[in-house]
Amino acid sequence: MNESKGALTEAVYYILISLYQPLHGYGVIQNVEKLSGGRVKLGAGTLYGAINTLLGRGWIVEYGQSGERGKKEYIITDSGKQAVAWEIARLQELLDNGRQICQADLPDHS
Amino acid sequence: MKNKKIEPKLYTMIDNEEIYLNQMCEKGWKPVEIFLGIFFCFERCEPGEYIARVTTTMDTEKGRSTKEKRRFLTEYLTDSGAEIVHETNIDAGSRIYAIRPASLGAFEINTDTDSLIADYQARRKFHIIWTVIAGVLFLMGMTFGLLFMREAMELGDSDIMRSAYIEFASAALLLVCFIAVVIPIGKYNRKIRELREKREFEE
Repeated sequence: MNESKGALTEAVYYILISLYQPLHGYGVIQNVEKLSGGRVKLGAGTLYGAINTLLGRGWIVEYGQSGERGKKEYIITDSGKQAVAWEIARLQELLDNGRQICQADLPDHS
Repeated sequence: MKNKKIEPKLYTMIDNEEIYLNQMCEKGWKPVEIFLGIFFCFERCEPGEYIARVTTTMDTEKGRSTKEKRRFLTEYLTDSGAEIVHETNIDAGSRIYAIRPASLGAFEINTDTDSLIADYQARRKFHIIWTVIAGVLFLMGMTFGLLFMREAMELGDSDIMRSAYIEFASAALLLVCFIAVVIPIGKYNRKIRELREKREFEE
């Protein structure tokens, strides 16, 4: 994963926006799959590594425990929200520049 | 028709172990238990009904297997419809063996480059630890063998000479173990290098 103002990986981006509501690990995986229309499927190893990195960076925190098995839930922090905002701005810039230059070659979605 | 069977197999690489388990699933045998790391127990299933995965519980940041990672992985695996077949619990490389019905779709534990690198680093560390252990024991065996041999020649004692031969035989066995665990380190180094190159491109 990249530094705070660098590009986020697709997995990290989706994990962060999933955690605008408190969720446990498997809930995150299900939510990411739903948000991406089934395209992004996170593995447990991927999620474990990402959650530890995000906790270490202070972008998410433990929110509590849920269910009989006491699964840990996580939620995004203000600095995590800021990272998402930067990423959205970065993606917007990519999109704007791409559209401006390649407009003639892009398929018409209208 | 036989519904259960046990096959003894010795693998030094997790990758090969996983390939073997998936080949058995393809043939209609799902793994149900593993004894002593080498006896694989299977039960009949439909050919291709299950996908098998083997993963390490070593946390690369902490440099050892952790309860947190084990708990996280087992929780996720059972939540996602997988069955835990077997867990090993040693600090130098704990593993989880799981199967999941193929009907539930692709079954991958590491779906991004970073976690794949971390997993291969954990596998490599397991081999490094056992390489060092086998190497030290081999050197000890050789040293004792030579000392016994010198003493036997000085004293002309055949019993001490026999001990020297036993030490050399043990050392030879340990050398085989050493070679078996050291070879995968190079393979893992290559995989990690390839994945790092891929990650640079992705970034």
